[in-house]
Amino acid sequence: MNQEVEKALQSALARKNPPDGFADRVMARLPEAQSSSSSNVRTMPSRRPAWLAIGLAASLAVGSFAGLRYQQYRQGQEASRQLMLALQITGEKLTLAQHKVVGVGERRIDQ
Amino acid sequence: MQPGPNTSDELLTQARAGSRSAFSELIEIHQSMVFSLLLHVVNEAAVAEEIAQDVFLELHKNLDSIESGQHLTRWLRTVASRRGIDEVRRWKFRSPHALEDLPEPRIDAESPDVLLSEKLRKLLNRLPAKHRTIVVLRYQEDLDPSDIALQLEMPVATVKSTLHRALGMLRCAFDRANVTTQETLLKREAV
Repeated sequence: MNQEVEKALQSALARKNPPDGFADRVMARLPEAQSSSSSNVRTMPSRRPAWLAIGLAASLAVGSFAGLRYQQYRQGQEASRQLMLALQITGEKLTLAQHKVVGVGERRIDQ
Repeated sequence: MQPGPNTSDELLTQARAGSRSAFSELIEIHQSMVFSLLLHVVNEAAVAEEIAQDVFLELHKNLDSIESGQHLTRWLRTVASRRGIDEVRRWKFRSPHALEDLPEPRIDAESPDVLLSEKLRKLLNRLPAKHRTIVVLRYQEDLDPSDIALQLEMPVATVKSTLHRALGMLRCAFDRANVTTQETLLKREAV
């Protein structure tokens, strides 16, 4: 019985052609669709430089930011080095002054 | 018309390059498949043609994404099936009557085969849109359940169980319709 139903279904659901001129009617609607797709095609070359420019600008911005940060880092390092040198000089001067004060104090006690 | 794999591939390449005649040939090759699928799902020739035209216009927009002739056939079946299901659901939602409440199609047929085909199509229209599409893909396009599952992106088990249930429903209705048809024919012969 299933086979009978299946056979009848195959017959009932056989492919049918659309009314004559179907392809022509689709093609007649195509220029509208094509103009939108062709406009996409036309805009692609102009979009490419735009994307390139955006990419280039982004790269430059990132590069500049990185360069600025590096420069700030170098300046910080230099400032730190100078501070250490200044502290070292100050320390040496303080030590010298301390020796002198101690020396003067010892001489007064001796007198 | 069944296209050879090379024919479709070549036409596809030409259509992608912008050949209108190649695209027109692709329509000629696939129009009966797309139109019939939609006709059997939406059961209205004018609506089926309108949606079929939209399917081919969508194809034209997506030509670059179609990789081969086989891919093209699968793409058309999938898009047509989805559009058909959507249309039936929208129509059912808009319509104050359910599909099964609509008047029975007029039968002018002379032969019992045509009468039975009409009855079967009418019975098929009582199935939910998705079940109907599965049956159409199985018996119009002769697809296996696994192929149908791929086309409609659903599990194979669901397709199999849907086909089983749909066939069961159709068989019961078919038995009743068969008896009625035979009675109708007998009455006609008597007249």
